[in-house]
Amino acid sequence: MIRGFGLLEMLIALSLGMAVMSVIIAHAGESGRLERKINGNQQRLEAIFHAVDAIKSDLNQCGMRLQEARPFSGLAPFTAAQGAFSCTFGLADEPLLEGALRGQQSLRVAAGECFRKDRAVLLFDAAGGAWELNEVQYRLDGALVMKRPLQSDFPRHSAVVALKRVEYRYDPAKRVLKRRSDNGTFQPLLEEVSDFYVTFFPDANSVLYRIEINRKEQVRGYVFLLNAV
Amino acid sequence: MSVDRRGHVVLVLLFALLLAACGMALLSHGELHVQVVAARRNRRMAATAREQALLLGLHRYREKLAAADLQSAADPEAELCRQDFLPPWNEGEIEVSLESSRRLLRSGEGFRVTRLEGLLRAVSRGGRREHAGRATVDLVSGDVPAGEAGLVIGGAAAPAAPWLAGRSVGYHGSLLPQVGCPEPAIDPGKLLAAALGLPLELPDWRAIREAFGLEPSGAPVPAGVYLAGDAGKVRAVFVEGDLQKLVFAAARGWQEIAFVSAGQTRELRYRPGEASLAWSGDPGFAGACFAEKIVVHGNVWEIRQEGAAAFGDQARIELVASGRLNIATGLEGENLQAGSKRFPKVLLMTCGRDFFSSEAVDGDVAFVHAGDAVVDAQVIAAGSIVHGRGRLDLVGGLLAAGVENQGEIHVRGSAGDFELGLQARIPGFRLLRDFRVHFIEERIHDEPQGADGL
Repeated sequence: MIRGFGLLEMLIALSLGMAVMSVIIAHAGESGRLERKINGNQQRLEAIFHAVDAIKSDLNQCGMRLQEARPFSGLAPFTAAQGAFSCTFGLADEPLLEGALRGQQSLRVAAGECFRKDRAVLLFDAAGGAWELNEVQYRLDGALVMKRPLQSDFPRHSAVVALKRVEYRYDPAKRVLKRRSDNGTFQPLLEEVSDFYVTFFPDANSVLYRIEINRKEQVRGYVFLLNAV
Repeated sequence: MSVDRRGHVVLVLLFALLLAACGMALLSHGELHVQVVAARRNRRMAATAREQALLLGLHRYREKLAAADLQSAADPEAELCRQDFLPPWNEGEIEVSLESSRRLLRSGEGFRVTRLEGLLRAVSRGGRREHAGRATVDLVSGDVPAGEAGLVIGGAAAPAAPWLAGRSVGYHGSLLPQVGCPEPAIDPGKLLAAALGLPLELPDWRAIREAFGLEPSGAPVPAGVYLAGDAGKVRAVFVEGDLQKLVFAAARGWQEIAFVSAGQTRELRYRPGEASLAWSGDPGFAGACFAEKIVVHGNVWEIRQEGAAAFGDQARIELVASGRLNIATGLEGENLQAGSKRFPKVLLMTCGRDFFSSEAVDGDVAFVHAGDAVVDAQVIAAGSIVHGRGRLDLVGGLLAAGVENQGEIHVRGSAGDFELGLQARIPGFRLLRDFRVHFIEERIHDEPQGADGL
């Protein structure tokens, strides 16, 4: 009866086991490195997708609810400079329930949550061509109190638009693309950006952007400003 | 020889179990990852599909409005707002529906403007998110002033899109053109009185002479260029007889207009809205304010731009002729910044009848430029709009009795602010103008507007 392995068998098994184990350990280290690399790439890709989604979403909304006021107010919903651009759009709009006179600070509006404190608002009367920018001081039930007295008279049904402004800025020193909303601070949106530019084509009402990451990957997008037609 | 292999079997089974567990973990991780990716992709695809369905819905709404028979409707405001005007429909898994409402924007002076508002929603079946878009259009009804027309052609009624396409007339998407309208009612006497700022219904030569400070008489004034007004304000420039050439130029805030009539040239220079007039003709008007109206009792054989721009940014010139207008070049405003919206700086209007005898005359407005041209004008022509070869971009609206076109005409139809546009009326007419999409946004179904962007 054989109760165990012989010495020779043990030696062979151990050496084979050692060889297999060393190969496995060596490969495990390599796959760990590979996994970290793949994860890093994956995260960077996710960050790029997130940044692209944010840019596309903001550009899609650019000029929203400002169509009627643009001809006489001259408001530009999209502006671009070297490595930076900004979009302005209306989050919500409501008609004035009562006419408002010059010097008045409260407006009768069925304003929703969008018209919160410090929110920039645009008031305009398309028929009369009057318009002005103001800010919400506080919101009451069925009324808005502005920070500054009105500069013009606004008849009933004039529009009150809650504005949102989004800015993008590329910081070449830190290689970061940043985004900020309204009066907030600039938050990093995408890191390791080696180049960023936007070009506006007014005739086609479109924006071309290009993001270069680590001087390797490039993301380009051509977005039609749907809400600024 | 017998071998006890039970221990080995247990080890093998444990090892197999471990492998199976690892495999299952890898598979489920992979499955989860695939599901996450698929969910993300599906959400994007659903959003794109909803957006496309909404855009198609907006397009259908516009087409339906354009095809509506406004003239025979008993109550067009109510009919265009009825629930069944555009019943809900399905685009695959997406339901698109329209909610309509209306409100009176303006009423008086024989016509009213009603704003029709349509909120379109595209909702995925069983989904929480929707795409919503709001479009508005203004319905003008009554004795419609010619200045309210975006693109209206007289004559027999016909479907506008093919009629215009057949004549190579393109137009901006906000316009809902109409072909077939009654002849605009223009009272030449009233038009002349309004243009010259005379408090009369039917001006005669005596009143005209008085306005120009000439010796009182019932005889026509000699052919030439006259200013109506006084040292404080010049209400209009009146040209008796044909004008050979009318030249517009603008630079550094100054508007310059040269009149060439019977071999004589008269020049007028002013800053719009300021008391700044300089006139090369009779003295007595220096430093006056100019109301920017030019009335020609006859034809203008050549209107042209000189220099980089024809009109200053603030200029709003109204040119009314009893006869024909020939435009020989483009007429562009000074504000030429890329991307900025262009507005008509001049009204080109023909009456088609003699101001005094009401005799019918040629009231065509002809564009005889070489190559392509942009004209920052609104055109109200008692006759046809005549255009030769090349491309013409007309920034303002167009009302004409007909179209004779050998090239391409593109009408942008931007509204102009011209007083004399009120003097020509289309009686008992209805038209739609300014189809405008205010927003297209994705939001949660039945949540208030803008809730996503808080």
